[in-house]
Amino acid sequence: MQPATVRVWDPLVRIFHWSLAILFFFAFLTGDEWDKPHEIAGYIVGGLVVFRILWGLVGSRHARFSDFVYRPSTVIAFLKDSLRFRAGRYLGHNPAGGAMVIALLLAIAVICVTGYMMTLDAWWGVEWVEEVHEAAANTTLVLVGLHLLGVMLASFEHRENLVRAMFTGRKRTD
Amino acid sequence: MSIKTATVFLAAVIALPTLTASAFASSDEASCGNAPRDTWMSEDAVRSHAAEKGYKVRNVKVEDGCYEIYAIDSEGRRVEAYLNPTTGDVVRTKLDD
Repeated sequence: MQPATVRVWDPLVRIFHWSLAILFFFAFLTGDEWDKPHEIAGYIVGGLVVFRILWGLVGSRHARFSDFVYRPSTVIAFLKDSLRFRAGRYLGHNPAGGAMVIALLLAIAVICVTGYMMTLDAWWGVEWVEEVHEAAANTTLVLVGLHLLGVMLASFEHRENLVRAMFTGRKRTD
Repeated sequence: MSIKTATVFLAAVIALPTLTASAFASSDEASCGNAPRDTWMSEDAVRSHAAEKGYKVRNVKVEDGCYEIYAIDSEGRRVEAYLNPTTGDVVRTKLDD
C-alpha cells in the first residue's frame, strides 16, 4: 500500500522552478552567441524572479519565505547535521534549501539587472557591467551544482525522491 | 507525464543548444587574417581607426582573432564591430537593437 502523501509544492512554484531551470541554462549557453533569444530568455527570467518574490510573500504555505528562511546559525547547524546524516526532515525547504532559494534569487536578479543595463546607451560597452554579469552567471552555475548535490543528499538521507516531488508537488506525510 | 518522460524532455532541452552551440560560434578568423599578435596595431591605433569611421568607442577587446569594439555608431546606435587587427578594416558589425 502506498504511504499517505501531502501536497507541498503548488503548481505555480513548480512551473516557476522548471521554467527558470530551463531558461537559465538556455541563457547561459547562448550568451554572446545568439543574442536575441538570450535577451528574451533574460527578460522572461526577470519576470519569473519578480513573480517568485511576490509569491514568496502571498503564496501557498511552503512557497512563502516565512516558511523557509532561517537565521544563518540554523542553516550552518543544519548543514553540519546533514553531513553527519542526522539532519531532520522538512516538508518544505530545509534551512539550507531555503538559503539556496535566496542566494539564487539574488544572483539571478543581478544577472537580469546587469543584462538589462547592457542594452542601455549609458552602460553599453562599460566593462564592469559585463564582468559582473558574467561573474553572477558563473556564481549561479556553481550554486546550481551545490543545489543538485543538496537535493541528492536530502533525498538519500530521507529516502525520498525530491526531484519527483518538484514535478508532482507531493511528498510522503511522515 | 511520468518522471522518466519529464527527465528525457529536460535532458533534450539542455542538450539541444549545447550540441548546436558550435554552429552559432562566430568565425571571423579568415577576414581578420592570422597575423601574429606582435604585428597587430595597438589598441590606441584601433580606437583612432574606429573614431575616423564615425564610431564613438566605449571598449576594445580581442575576440576570434579580431579587435572587437563596443561603440556608438555615427547614427547613434549601439554596435559591436569587429576590426581586422592589421588593416583596421571593419569586417563585421552587430547592432544591439
